[in-house]
Amino acid sequence: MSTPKDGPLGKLQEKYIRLRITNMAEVDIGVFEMDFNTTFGLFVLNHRKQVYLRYGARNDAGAETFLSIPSVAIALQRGLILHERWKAGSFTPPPAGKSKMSQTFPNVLKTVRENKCVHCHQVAEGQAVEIFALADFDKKTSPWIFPDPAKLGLKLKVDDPIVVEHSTGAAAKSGIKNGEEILKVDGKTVSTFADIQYVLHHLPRDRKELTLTTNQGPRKIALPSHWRVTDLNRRSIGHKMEPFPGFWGKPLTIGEKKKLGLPTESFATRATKFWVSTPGKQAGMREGDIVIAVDGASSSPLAVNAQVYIRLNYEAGDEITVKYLREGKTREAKYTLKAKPW
Amino acid sequence: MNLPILAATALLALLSAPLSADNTHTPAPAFEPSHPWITDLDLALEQSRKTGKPILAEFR
Repeated sequence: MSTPKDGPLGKLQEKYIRLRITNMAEVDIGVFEMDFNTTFGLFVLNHRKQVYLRYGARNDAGAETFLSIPSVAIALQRGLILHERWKAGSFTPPPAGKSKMSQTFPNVLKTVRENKCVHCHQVAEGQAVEIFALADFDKKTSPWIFPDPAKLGLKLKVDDPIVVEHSTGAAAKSGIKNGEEILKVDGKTVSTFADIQYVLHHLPRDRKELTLTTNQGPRKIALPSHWRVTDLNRRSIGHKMEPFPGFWGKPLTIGEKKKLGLPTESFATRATKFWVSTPGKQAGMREGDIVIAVDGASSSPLAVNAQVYIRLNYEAGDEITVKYLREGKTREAKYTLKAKPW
Repeated sequence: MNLPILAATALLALLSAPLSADNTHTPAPAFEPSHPWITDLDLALEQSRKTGKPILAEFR
């Protein structure tokens, strides 16, 4: 599929100055701030570098969940409306973000110096290292970025994610009903799924309550515990966090857990890859083994898979006992964690 | 990166983009082939100022 000039997206594009960034070297991520653990991003902004909206985000299901042609078209339409409102003085976009060039991250600078193309994920890796270096970094609270509105009970419509498809949990308790349109989050205008995530990302860590303004009026949501938690294994920060768990793997689906008689909240994870020297392999584990417990723990509100549980709860040098299933039998592997896979 | 390579990359990404669980939405967007894009931010800012058009910045 393409977007020919005379198609709906083509016509919308004509109304914009079109800028394509294919190399993340020397990009001001203070202005273009987004979740760089994604595959695609759009920004609509004015010549003063004031961003009206952003598009392109991810959730635990993947980086494409909220990408669709209709939602791009809607975002582009909303961008034009906000631009006209800005010109008319009836919309004040947030001021341009504080400048922060991508090459301030050492890994990005290294790639630039090697004369190679810098990818978005490399910026995400640089951001992860920066988070680890925070003076108040806490493994149990700091790593989660760009939270998923689903944790607030907001299942959003893929083709127009400011529309609530299904309201549950905290959102339903606040009075939000199916079909309501979210216009503002914490007082900030939102036009896309990425906008909602962006505001949630910047909420102060100690906030207990959040106001969403919908087309039906203001709704106060009591933020549930662990509402920021997402699958860290889906982002650079989860891959960079030490120690290395001793294996690479993929969490079981709810259906797979049920089939094995495991509780749905289990962090059961199928080992998918080892290197010869990775500690799990040296302790007898093999590809296909299903990790069901670590030192007796089998679930955690902070981890949907065993790898993340290990990263969050241990340090390099710690010895752990991993319980795993192979061909219906339970086995154990005991090994010492290393900081990195090598 | 030249246009044919960009177009092929976008097509590949589109074909490999998974659908949502209920298969109800159109797959991920692809902008090629359509309009020429510029790659210089300062030029885009200047053109936006001159024409009064907003800027659509794409990252991939």
